[in-house]
Amino acid sequence: MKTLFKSSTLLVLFIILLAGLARFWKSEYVPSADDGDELAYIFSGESLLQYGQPISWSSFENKKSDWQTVVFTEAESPVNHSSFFPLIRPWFDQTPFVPLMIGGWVKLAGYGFPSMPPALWYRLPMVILSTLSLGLVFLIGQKIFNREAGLFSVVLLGFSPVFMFAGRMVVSENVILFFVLSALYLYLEKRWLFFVVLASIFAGLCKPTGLVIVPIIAGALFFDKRYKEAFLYAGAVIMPVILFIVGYGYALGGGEFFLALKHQSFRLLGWSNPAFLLANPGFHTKPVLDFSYFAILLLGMMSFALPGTKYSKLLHSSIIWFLVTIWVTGAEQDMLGWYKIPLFAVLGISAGALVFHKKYLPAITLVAITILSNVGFVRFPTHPLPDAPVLRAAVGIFLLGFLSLNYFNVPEKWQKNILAGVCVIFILQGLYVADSYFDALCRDRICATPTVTFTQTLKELF
Amino acid sequence: MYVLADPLGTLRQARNEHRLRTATELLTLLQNNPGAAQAGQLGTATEGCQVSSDFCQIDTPSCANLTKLLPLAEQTLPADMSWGTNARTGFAISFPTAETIAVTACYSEGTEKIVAEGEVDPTNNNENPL
Repeated sequence: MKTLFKSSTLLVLFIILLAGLARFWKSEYVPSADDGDELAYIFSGESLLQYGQPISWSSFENKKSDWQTVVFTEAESPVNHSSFFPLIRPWFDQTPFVPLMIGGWVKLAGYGFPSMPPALWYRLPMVILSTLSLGLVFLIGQKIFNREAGLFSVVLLGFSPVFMFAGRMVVSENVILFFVLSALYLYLEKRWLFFVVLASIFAGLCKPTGLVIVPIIAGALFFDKRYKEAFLYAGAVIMPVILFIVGYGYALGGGEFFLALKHQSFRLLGWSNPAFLLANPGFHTKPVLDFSYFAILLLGMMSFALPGTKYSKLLHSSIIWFLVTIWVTGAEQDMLGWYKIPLFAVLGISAGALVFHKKYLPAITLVAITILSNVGFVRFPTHPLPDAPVLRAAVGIFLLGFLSLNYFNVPEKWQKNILAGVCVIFILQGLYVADSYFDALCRDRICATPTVTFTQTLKELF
Repeated sequence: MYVLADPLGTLRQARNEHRLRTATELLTLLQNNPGAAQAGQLGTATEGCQVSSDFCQIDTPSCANLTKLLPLAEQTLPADMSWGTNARTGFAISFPTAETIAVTACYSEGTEKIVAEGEVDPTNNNENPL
């Protein structure tokens, strides 16, 4: 009998598109539509395209470069309040690649510098890109493990609420993820190394941390005894990226570029950062109590204990490379959650190893805990706490289920179907969260509410 | 097509247009507040405000600080797109005649001088013009 996991390509496509829809639906609400970290890219892109100067706001102390403060009144702002941003010039917090990409996109809709476009518009490229990244997650999971493993990874990453919200954000890491996964997939498929180089260059152009792909792939080539290719690949990626970034910075800022580089490179780091990063769930600036974060983390890490496949070492080295990259670039106890996006994507792919090795119990257990725990993720103020008997009954049912699977000799096929069942519930819950999270979060507090929304735009169009 | 043919020229022109808009904004601010500033470079710095460019020759070391005339939220002066900062905006005030005031973009690109000039209305004492 055909189980859910054995079904056709159509099912895979359907799930990826559904995850894309969940990313798009109410994308203008969460994260906040006046998110400064996203607007930094937008201002820079707008000013670069319009005036050839990178101007934006910065959290680094570039007081010498204070340009001017821009004020958006409530009427000019795409949210229900006014905002102001002190801007600096030249702005070198990021490379120009993502700002130009997103600046070009907002310019298509007629937004020039300085303006705050609606989040509904500026997040659209990221929604598309993160959906395409999910497609790559599936392809890589399928290549390294098998089709079912790839599908499990897509479900985990596609409907994890925090990962879903992160996928909407205009941050370099979402673009890096797409190019890094493209490079990994092209490498795994043994495509012409030129294409791997190209994808890797784009990852590096997004942000220097994107160059993390170089030691991953060069290392794989090296241990495959393809020494010449390893050195050629590394040189062909690193050289143009460094030349482009330094050339851009020097042309537009000279000494100020090196000053900004120094500010960024020598910020306070921390020995305890891995503990801080992993203890604070979420991909934004504040921890969010979504258990799927820990499910991805734990399931991904479990793959280290399982017998490896031909390419699982590549995946494991990716996990560690991404982790150490955040460790040595993230500020001390400063939650810049989006730095973790590439790490969690490879952890999600790695989680597929459990399905591949038919170790269904940990996957069922952690996805089931996520479902139960995330009932409290969307909590309306009208019923803030669950009744104790309801909570205990639900946890009791989960416990009974776990004990049955743990102590009784449940056939593998049944376990697989149970995993498929909890995955379906997990998907439905993810869709519910996508729809209700903002309403629940913002009913009893003042939130930045978008004034340009998808439903309103649809009404105006038709 | 024009943008593709001469991208640097187009950007230069856009920056000069921005300079003209900024100079005009500053002129309006000054017209509404006669006597608010002396001749010199606009900015918050109290030293190093001398300018020697193709369009400005300023010897006054301290800048003319108009920040107090702005609404609380803004509190920064508009500055030159390429060279200005809040401390030294790259715009200069001058008084060609007793009745006129001029705001010059000191760092405009090309040969064209960018200046916004207008009459001072001595009867206007609006304290909060913007």
